[in-house]
Amino acid sequence: MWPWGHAAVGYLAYSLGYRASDRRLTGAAVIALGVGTQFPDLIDKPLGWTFGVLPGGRTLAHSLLTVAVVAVVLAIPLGVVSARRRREPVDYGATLFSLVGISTPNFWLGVMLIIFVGVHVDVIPTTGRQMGLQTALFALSNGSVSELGQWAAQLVLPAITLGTYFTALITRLTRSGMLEELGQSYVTACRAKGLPETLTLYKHVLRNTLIPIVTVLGLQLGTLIGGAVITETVFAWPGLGRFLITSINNRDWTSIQGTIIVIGVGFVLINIVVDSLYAYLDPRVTAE
Amino acid sequence: MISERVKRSLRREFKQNRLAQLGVVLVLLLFLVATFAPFLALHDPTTTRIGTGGTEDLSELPPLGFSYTEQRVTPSGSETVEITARQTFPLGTNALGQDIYSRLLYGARVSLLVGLLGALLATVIGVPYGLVAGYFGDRIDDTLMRGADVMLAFPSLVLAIALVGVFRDSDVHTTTIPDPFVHAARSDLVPNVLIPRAAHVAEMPASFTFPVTVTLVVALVNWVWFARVARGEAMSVRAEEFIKAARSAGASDWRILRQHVFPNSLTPIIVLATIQVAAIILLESALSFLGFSGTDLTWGADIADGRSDQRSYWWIATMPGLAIVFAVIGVNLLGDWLRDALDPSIEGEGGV
Repeated sequence: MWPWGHAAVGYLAYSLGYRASDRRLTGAAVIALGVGTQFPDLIDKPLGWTFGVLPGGRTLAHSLLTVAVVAVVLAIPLGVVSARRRREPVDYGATLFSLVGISTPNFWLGVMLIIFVGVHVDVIPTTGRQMGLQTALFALSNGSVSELGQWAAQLVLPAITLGTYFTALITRLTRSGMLEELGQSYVTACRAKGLPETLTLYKHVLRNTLIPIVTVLGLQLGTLIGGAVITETVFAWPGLGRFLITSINNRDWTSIQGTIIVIGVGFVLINIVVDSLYAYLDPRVTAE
Repeated sequence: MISERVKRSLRREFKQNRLAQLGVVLVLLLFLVATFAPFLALHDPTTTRIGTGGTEDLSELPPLGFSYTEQRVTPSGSETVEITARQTFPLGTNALGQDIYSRLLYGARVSLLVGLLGALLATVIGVPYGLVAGYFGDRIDDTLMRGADVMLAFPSLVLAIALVGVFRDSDVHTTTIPDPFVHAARSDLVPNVLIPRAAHVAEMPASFTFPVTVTLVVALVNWVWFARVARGEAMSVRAEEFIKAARSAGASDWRILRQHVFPNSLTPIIVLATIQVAAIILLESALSFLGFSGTDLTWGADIADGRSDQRSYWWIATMPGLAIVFAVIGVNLLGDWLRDALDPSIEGEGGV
């Protein structure tokens, strides 16, 4: 069931992206037409089952990936350490970073990065998407590594732009959640029975903190599907959000409908994942 | 509604917390700047100086301390021109020669007004909605909150852009608000000696553009958060003894909601409203950056302006961004202060 649902969504987006600019077609007609004419295409492209089929959807996959990685690898440990070493320099540093991070408009951050980093560091391109992941991987399979490097370099600035707010937000949430949990008596029990501090923190306390974090992460990732608009505008990436803005400006109703359907469905899918994560994180939560 | 205990904990937290003090200072500064913009501005923020009609070309002047040289093509080859910063344009000028400092002051008005009114409107919509859902529970709760979930499932920026796209061509997209100080300085109603720098103030724009659609949109996008918080509070207050007591004394549901549930849910709503002001200022700047605001005298629009020549004339985009960052940091710190002081469940338990 699931892969088919996914394929249908990706497929819908695929057909919309390529045909929706034709105003004579209504949304339904576009879907029908797409399903009718392009199904073989879908089978040809197994990668098309993922978000890769969206118009500029690879951008989206990139941004989701980057943000998820940045947020999880950076933000959660930072939040944990910050809560553990409360009122120490590392805590002040993390608090300051997260405060500035949630207060900085990401479009401005993008512009600033282009001005101050892009101009002085040659290897990092500042605008446009020169290379897709598939191209880079293809080159890699032929033994050339430099394409992968280029692919990664073009991601740096957009990733920082998109990721800063997230990282800051998750750090704040982790810190306050951890502080609340650390006061619970089971923490004392864990310590009393001689459990190593790392194990106490990451296995017990963090796990209990994760539920609100996962909720927010899910909501924010959902927002990102269409909300990367700004980052895409600043860096001239061919993304879904920019496609929507262009469609609105052109009064291209079919495209608007299609894009919004895709965004909505993506949001629902992410939330299904989040809901199933609840059950994993908290065994008391069971599917009805 | 504000008890002695609340005042005490606010005061204690304020004394202990440097960040709270910084937040209050920044927010006060924002209010002062926005209110008294005509007095503080050095020039009319809309005056352009691009060197037409025999006037001096003052476009792209750098901020103080950042004078630069530029190669210019002249009929006799090229020459190096030195462009020096001027004291009368402390933060430089943009591509049209408008004074960036004065534009920042006026931009604060739009940001602050949209932030406050947007948050207020979101509260007015969201809080009754959530209180009713949480108080009555069951089917009413399900119906109302599923509706709210639909709103939540919509990425806020996309919804905002779509709504602006719909309303953009209507008459109410923007409205002009007359500036009382400038009117007073220009008319004889108030003796001009009572107004500091009256002649200067009279030169300022007589009104400023307020983006109505954007305000409605940010409220429509953000009211769900208020509904969720209010619902949670109403659900926990509903189970309290004094509600049962009120009901057994014959109070109607409406009366209980108004007299008992609402006042007891107020604290988290106030904290949320403060934080939402910050979120709305950011959303407003994003919308005006994308050109949906309807006025160009806002921080977001100024950043968008600065993008065209972002490499050579960095200050045009940098300055309004800094203004946004400081304003939002201030409001966020204020929110943190209120949360730490008013919500005992957060403070005091994490004694590591």
